[in-house]
Amino acid sequence: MDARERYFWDLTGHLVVKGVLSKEEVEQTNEIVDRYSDRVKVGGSTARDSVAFAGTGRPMLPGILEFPKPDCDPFHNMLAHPAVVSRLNVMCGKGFRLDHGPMFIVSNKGTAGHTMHGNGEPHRPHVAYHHQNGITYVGGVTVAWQLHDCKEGMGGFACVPASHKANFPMPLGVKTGDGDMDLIYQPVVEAGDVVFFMDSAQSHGATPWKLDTTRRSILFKYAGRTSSRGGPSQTVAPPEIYWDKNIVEGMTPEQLAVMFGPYSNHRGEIPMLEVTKDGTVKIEE
Amino acid sequence: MSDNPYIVSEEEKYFFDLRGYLIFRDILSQAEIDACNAAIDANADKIIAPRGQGNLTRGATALEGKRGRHEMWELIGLPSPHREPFRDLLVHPLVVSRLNEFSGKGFRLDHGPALIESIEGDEGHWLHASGEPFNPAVSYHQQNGKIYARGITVAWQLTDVNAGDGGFACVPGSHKTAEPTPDDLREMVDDMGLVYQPEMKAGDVLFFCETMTHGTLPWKGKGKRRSILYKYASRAANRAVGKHFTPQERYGDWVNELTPAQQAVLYGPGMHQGEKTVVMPTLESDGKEVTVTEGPLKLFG
Repeated sequence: MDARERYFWDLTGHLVVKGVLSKEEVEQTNEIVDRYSDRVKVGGSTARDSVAFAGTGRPMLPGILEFPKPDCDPFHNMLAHPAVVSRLNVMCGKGFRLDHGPMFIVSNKGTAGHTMHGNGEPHRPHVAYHHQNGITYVGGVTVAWQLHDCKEGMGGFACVPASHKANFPMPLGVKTGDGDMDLIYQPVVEAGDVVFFMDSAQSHGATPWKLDTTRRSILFKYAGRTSSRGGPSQTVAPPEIYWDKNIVEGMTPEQLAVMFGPYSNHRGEIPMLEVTKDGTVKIEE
Repeated sequence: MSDNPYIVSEEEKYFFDLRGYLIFRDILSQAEIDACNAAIDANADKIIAPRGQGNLTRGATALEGKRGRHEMWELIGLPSPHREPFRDLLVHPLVVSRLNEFSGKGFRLDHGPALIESIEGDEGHWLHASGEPFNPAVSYHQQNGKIYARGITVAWQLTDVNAGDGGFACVPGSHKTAEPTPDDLREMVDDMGLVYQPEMKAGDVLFFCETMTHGTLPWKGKGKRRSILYKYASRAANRAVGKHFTPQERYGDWVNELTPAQQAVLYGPGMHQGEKTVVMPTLESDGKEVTVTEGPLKLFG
């Protein structure tokens, strides 16, 4: 990762690396994907209340790392590709890890965009960006491998450059894209390119897909050595799994609440504690 | 402390942000102190020096002593009823109210609690941690009036610590430093007048940022030092690796098909096992080739 890339990364919060996969590698991978098209699952719309991002549900192709050999090989090769390792060692530090994913987005024409999410404010310590004495650090980086072209204004990954350093909340219009203040930027990418972006530190999302060809973007969600967002960390987080039996056996619900393993992407399944005026500790309702 | 002891006051926030630690006085009753001490006495055979002698001083002559640090782990996993006093402290209202404010709701026990027990002449612990180099595992940040401390240790005092006794010591304000800490200071050769050893009584409780430079001075007190350390982290921060750390433990046997480099990025989060630095593969790359190095993880100075 040279000085120009570091400058761009620090300034904008994302980076497009051109031509990481050869034309032959792209074609080989796309041929595999074509054969597994019956496994595509269409989820709900990720546009929420946005008008600008409205569309149909987002199609995904799951389980690509576990495809039978040799079909899994191109995806395994992405995991610790030199282009990834050389940059993530700088971005996240040595010992970076795959936190969750890969998520393979295979949008069709008309697939909804995704509301902008993430921002420097409020501060999210597990994914935050920090620069000190020439060293950059960010807790979460998504590496998105492109298997199809994505042309200007045609949808796909979009972001708010420099928002990883924002100290003010993101306005609703930027979040929905309905009044984006001309801040939302959709980079042009070609098949074989790789997009790196700060996940949740930088405001990012997607604009609706407008091309006749599908969007094919594989998102590997990496984290620094000491951050957890989801994936297996979520699976092993319940106290009775995360700790030895003698440690948690017989604990009260309040005690168990602080014994869950680390991960951030919970949807209310982690009990939170509060203290009443009389000093009683209880689970927050 | 505010009128309601379970609401964090503005003065507390100011002090914690400025200094990196807080001490609350006379929080435990004598009965609670006695219960903890009795539970420890009943399990005294579990108090050991797991690191031997000299491991924690790192060659610092000023921190040397006659004996290595003695510890007892898994206090909350002791047979009942000995574990109960320590489980009560785990979510004590003073802890919950402060950690909700300083580390955020959903804070968690990362590792510990562990007893540190010292007798006169026991060695100290090299002064470690600092704002520089930046350590994301325990980083300190303040933004728009909100404090974000990823690692806070809560140390309950079961015996008195008088001025000059030794024990816990720190460099106030060092959680924000952006300059390297002089080696002489870490080794207590020349502390530049910056190292502070707080006086505490049995029943007091100390909160400190793990980012702040801290360690232990050799114990000179006539009585035993007994301090119980709970190592908390914010919801998504990791220091100790969990039980499910290897790629196989986290993903299943299909990962055996992967190369060593590919497996290296599938390890679980964390930096150490128990108090030992974790041994795991890390990757290097010049952008063309990837090489794997297996060894103790060395990340943040």
